[in-house]
Amino acid sequence: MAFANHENRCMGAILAGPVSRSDKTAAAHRAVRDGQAGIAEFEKAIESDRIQIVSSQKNFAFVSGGQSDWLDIMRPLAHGLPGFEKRQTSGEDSIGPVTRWFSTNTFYRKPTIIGQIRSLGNEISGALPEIQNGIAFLLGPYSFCRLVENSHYKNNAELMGDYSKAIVANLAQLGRKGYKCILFLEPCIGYEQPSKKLETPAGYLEALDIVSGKGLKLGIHFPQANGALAIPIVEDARIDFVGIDGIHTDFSKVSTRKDLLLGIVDGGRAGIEGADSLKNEIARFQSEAQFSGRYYIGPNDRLFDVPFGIALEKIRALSALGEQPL
Amino acid sequence: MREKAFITQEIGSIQRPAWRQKLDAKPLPEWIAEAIFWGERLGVKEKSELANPKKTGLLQKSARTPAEKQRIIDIASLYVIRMFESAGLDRVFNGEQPRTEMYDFLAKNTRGISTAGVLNSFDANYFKKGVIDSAVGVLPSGVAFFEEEFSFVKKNTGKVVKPCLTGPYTMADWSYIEHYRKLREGGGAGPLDALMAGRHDAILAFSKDVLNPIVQGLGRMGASVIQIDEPAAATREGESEVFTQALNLSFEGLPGGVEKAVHLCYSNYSALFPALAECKADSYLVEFTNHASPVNFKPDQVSPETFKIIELFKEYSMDVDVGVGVVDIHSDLIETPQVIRDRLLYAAKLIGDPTRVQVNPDCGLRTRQWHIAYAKLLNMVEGAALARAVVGD
Repeated sequence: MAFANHENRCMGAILAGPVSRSDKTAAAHRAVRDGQAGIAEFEKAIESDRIQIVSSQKNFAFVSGGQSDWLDIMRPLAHGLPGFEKRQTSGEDSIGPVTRWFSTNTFYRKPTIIGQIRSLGNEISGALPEIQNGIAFLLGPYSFCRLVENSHYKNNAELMGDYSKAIVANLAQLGRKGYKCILFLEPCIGYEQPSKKLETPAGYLEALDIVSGKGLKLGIHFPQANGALAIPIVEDARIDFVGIDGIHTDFSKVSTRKDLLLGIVDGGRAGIEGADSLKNEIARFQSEAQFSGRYYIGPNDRLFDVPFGIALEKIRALSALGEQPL
Repeated sequence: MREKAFITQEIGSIQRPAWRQKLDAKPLPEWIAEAIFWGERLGVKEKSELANPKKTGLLQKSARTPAEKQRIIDIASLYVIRMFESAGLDRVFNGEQPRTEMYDFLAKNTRGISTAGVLNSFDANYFKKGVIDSAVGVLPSGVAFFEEEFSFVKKNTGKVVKPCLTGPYTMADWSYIEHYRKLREGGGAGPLDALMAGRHDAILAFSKDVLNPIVQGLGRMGASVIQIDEPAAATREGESEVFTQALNLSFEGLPGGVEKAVHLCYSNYSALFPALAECKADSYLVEFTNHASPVNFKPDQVSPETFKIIELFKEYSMDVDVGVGVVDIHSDLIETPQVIRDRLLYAAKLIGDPTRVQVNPDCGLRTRQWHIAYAKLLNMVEGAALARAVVGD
């Protein structure tokens, strides 16, 4: 892979979360909702999106299909895993109430946990397509705890532990489907405490330990957070790399022994980053941060908050970077 | 002079029925049946313009002219006005029936914004997100629209009319602020500084050049209360001052006696303080009920965070009314009048004066079907009456 030539430090590009849907897919989705089309139309459109997303990821270390068929990052888990309440209401209302995704104009359905979270081994992997050298995006244990309604567990440490065990139960099948990496997304860290000293939540490292070293690489990404504050949370965790939001991170305060995902493509911006500006950001990071490890490059956040065409352009900008010296 | 204790109102949006939403589609029989059902239930005399035995109704035609489509939108507004009136609300508006979506609609009436593309909101709902490519300012047609919208509702109800507008902070937060970032980058700012300073510039531009001209226009039209909606507020540290400044700029120039209302929801309200103490708003309509039980209210089981904003208003000596969100717009479960009464009395006790308590849903009810929304509003009004009886108002 082209990136590997860059002083052997850049390991390639990866995405940092789900990707948005195309206009055509949105139209198909609405048509299904309105009873004017069958679900097959939506699935066909999603598949078309997936093909474009995958083919745009040239030179990527791990490849994602975008997970754009997931109605939100929680939905397949809430649908499939025992322990979640199934409300006696129709359609998607049965998952839980529509809840704002932090400050954005997007929402997710907040599920309620009423029993022990456990897995039969295919609830998560079954919701992901086969993909060679794949990467799967899941909520990290802390954000999972914060974004569900917990009516069962006495403390978050127990909940995080069982959540991690449920993921581990899916790893074998994920491996068979071609997945090589799990990226835990921890948006709550950034959105809740962007400038304060960040403490490691009790039970968090133990929850990560449950998933690490089980055959797939494990990364933790902190979108919307100052990475200089977020990295210490997992500095002692047994994980393979930490993702930092390059837009919200003070590079000069970053000091870590971990490998990194350097989020330098702005998932909250419509403009497409040019190769020169991306290279400048990498150079700025290397000159300012106390860091001698290896790194991936990618977006600072999910590409779900930019329209599909822009998301593809941003992915291609990362791909193009692999073709030239950094 | 307050009208009474526990005045009732909606927040803004009510779900647009399919017959209003899909003006270019051939109406399905169930859409027509729904229009007839609600027209009869709410006593909307204009329902016969939509459908009638002679099959000459607007929904019974195979195609409609632009004027006919506008009439359907007007009638949808009348349906919602009657819904609010028949539920017994003290203050009404149009459920935002003439608008598309709270962000998208104001963006369309603002120069300097173009559509970047479609993004998912939730489930199969999508919205168009805008990119700011030059300085923002409300279009003259935008000001005219909001004035005509207000005028239409005022002409068709005897109740107090409360227009609502998406606020400057939310409009900036939900847009790609490319223009303002580039200006800052051009001035030599680094990526984060350009982002944050660009956000401030965009927020203040929205308040001064988009919201304020509309607010002033509504003031001239005789609005006695104007509500600014800020669902994106309080989510980024260090922005409470610009948030407050933007609200004050938006309301600037309104004549005395016009109630300046602000709606907040699903946010970390504490992060707004102490800056919010400098805000000149008269009332804050806040979400309090999300995820609470619909069948009982136990103050000792309420998260301290839930009512903390009331304590903060008191701590900072803010002389404001508080609109207490007493029904959950995220759930089909219908709160009982008794639990609504108890929530209101608890809030009144915290505030120390029931006449400073207003009553509203947590947020716009557009997420709920009409029969759910209507049932919630009916119970809300009944709960307020029960609370009024307890305090002897």
